[in-house]
Amino acid sequence: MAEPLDGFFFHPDGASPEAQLSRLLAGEHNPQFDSPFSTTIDEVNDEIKAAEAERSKLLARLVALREKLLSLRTHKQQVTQAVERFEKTGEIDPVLIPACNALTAKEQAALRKDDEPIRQTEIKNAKETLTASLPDGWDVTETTADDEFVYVTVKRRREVVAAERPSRETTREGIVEKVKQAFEAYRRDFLNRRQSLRLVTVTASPRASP
Amino acid sequence: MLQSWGTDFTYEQPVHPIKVDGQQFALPPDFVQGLNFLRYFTVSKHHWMQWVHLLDGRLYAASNSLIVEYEIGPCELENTIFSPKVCCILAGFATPPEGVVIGNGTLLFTWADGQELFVDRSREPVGYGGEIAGMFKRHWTFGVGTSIDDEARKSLHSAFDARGSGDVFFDGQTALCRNGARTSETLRPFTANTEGLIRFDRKPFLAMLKVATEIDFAASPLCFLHAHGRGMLVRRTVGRDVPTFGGDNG
Repeated sequence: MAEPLDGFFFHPDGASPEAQLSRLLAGEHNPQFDSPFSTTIDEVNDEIKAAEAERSKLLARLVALREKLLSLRTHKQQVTQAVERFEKTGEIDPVLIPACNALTAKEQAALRKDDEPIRQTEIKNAKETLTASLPDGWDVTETTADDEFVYVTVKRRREVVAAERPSRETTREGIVEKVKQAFEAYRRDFLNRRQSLRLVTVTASPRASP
Repeated sequence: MLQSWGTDFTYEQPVHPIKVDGQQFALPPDFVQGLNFLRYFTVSKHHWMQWVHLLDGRLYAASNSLIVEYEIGPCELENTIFSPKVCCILAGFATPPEGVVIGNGTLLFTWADGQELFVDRSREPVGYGGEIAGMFKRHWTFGVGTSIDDEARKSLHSAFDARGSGDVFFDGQTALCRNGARTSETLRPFTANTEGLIRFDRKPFLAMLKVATEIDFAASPLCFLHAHGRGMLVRRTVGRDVPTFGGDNG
């Protein structure tokens, strides 16, 4: 049996895919505990889990929509029957009372319209007042108001600008290149090893349909 | 008023003896000494490394890096575990117990003068530790040992005893300690029977060094003898970031 290295029972620096890849990049990998492709497998598993979670969420939403549709169709049937009853008996059933959404919106818009010139004046005054009193370098960028408050956003440039950083994609490309080199350099260490890859598989949800 | 007990103190049983149903075993003379020796090598709060294990008539303590075995002589006791707390309590008695009654989830240690220590183990796990004895069967390869005397022990301890994590390296002629941040190195001349560069975690290495009398650095895992048995210390992967052997000589 292969001699134990780093730990008799587990790797002392952790078994997470990130820890395994960090060890590989440092040349301190241990084929008994590590797999060079654990990060690759973990990433795929994460994406599968995320897609399955989104699918479950959408399926639940679809079920809710179906139920709502059924409920609305039933309601429509009740309304039709109530109209027929009205025509026969003159009875006005409560289901015949409309929600009046369109008229309500129209009336609300008319009420807001009365306030609009006042709101614009408030915004203008606030912007002018603050612009006049702000120290050098500060600017008013956005001003809004609701029924109670006026909101003003001010900004200025940083005195010490952050050092230029490589983009996330550039950083990723650099790391991927190092990983590729490590795979090539240490591939033999992982061939013919005694311990099989402890791959984590994602089991399909029994409720999910293909 | 405080009383000081002289050596002529004799124990008198204040209550009736504790009755425990179970099998009675005689204990080897070194049993408690072994428990007290090994309790320092247990790992607190780990689900099975926190115990001292009795396996096939020998006592063991294990961490992920270090496994220590203690010979207690002929022993008829079945495989079991002892918490470091019980080890500590047993070591506090003036004389070791002469027997133990093992019941269902209980231990009753008995002394010749009538003293008894009852231990409720109903909440302790059973069945762990078989892997520890197996490690010795698979990996014990003690060949040529490097003797460790008090002077060598003191020299390495004084040089390497620091806070935090770190590594210890040996290249055959020199011992080197590197701190956890890998920013400083401390060197000591030390002849070890290894040709290549080998690396160990500093803390378990120093724990091993406290008790080791002879070490085979060439074996992997490192095999060592102590006054009452043997032990093994796992090597670390050396990696590419090897020390320069040019740090502070101090």
